[in-house]
Amino acid sequence: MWSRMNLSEYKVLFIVVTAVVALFVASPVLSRVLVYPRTEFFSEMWLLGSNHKAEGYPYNISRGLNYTVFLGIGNQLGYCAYYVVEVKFRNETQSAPSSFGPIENRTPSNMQSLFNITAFVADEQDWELPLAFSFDYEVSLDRSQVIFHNLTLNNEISGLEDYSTAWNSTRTVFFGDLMFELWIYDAQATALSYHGRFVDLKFNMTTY
Amino acid sequence: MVEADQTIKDCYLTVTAADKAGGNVSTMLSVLQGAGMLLSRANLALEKGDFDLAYNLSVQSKASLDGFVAEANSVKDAAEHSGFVDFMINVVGSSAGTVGVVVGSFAVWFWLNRRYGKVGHVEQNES
Repeated sequence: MWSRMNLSEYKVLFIVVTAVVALFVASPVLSRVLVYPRTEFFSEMWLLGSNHKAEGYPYNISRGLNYTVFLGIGNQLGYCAYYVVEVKFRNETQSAPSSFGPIENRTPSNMQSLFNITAFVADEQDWELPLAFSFDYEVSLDRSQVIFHNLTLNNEISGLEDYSTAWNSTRTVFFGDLMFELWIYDAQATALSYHGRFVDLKFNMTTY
Repeated sequence: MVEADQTIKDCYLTVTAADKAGGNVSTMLSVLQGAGMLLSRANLALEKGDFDLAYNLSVQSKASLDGFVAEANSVKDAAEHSGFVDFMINVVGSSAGTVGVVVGSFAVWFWLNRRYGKVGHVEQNES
């Protein structure tokens, strides 16, 4: 006694096995095709306190004392980027970078850059630099203003001879603002352009 | 100083090309970072009027990038070759393999049908 195979009974099994093998073989190309495309390209910039957290930022500054913060940049632009951070200082009445409106329309402070920090950051990578800074300044005899001498940042000294800040009796501070503006190299324009982002540290320059 | 600045920009463009080709550029970015920092210090020295230091730092910055463009180009070429091989295996090979599996399965199915007779027909010999 013998019987011939009834192939229709195996049809579904055959199709399933074929589909599984085909999917396995196609997995390398599917892994490229079925990736959700990146739609947002941007840069991040941050400052962390001395304990490497978003707290403990220096506020009451004493002359000659060293303070540490961490400056970070995240690159999500889709290519490795050439950034320059311009470090600027201002008092209450001087120009600050704009914070409102579309980011491409924002403008930097018109204060002179005291330090330039260069950062080359690969795509989807972060870059971080510890910054140790101190201010050398004196209070005028009538105690109405603070007159700055220099700013030391990571052992590099920059003169602040033309800088001063007046006493703000409403806020009871000698106000100082240390700004970090993010600039980016535009390969087509072959020049650095303001990237619309900044972080800053606002201080009360104390008299001790 | 202008030369050192232009060298950094040229090197950055070659690194960007190598990165776009899929090469590993992390080491080269570290070298560029060092050159950029030296140039920043040179600029600061220039602003302070220390021309000797500014000159020395800009020369150091430029010197640290000697051979950089050639290295970046070789990384780019290697990445392009590797990318081509990867494309041939993972895209062309995988696509052709998938078509082969489907077509082969149909061929096997039809061969089985022809070899073992009508589909669904069961022949029994009872005696």
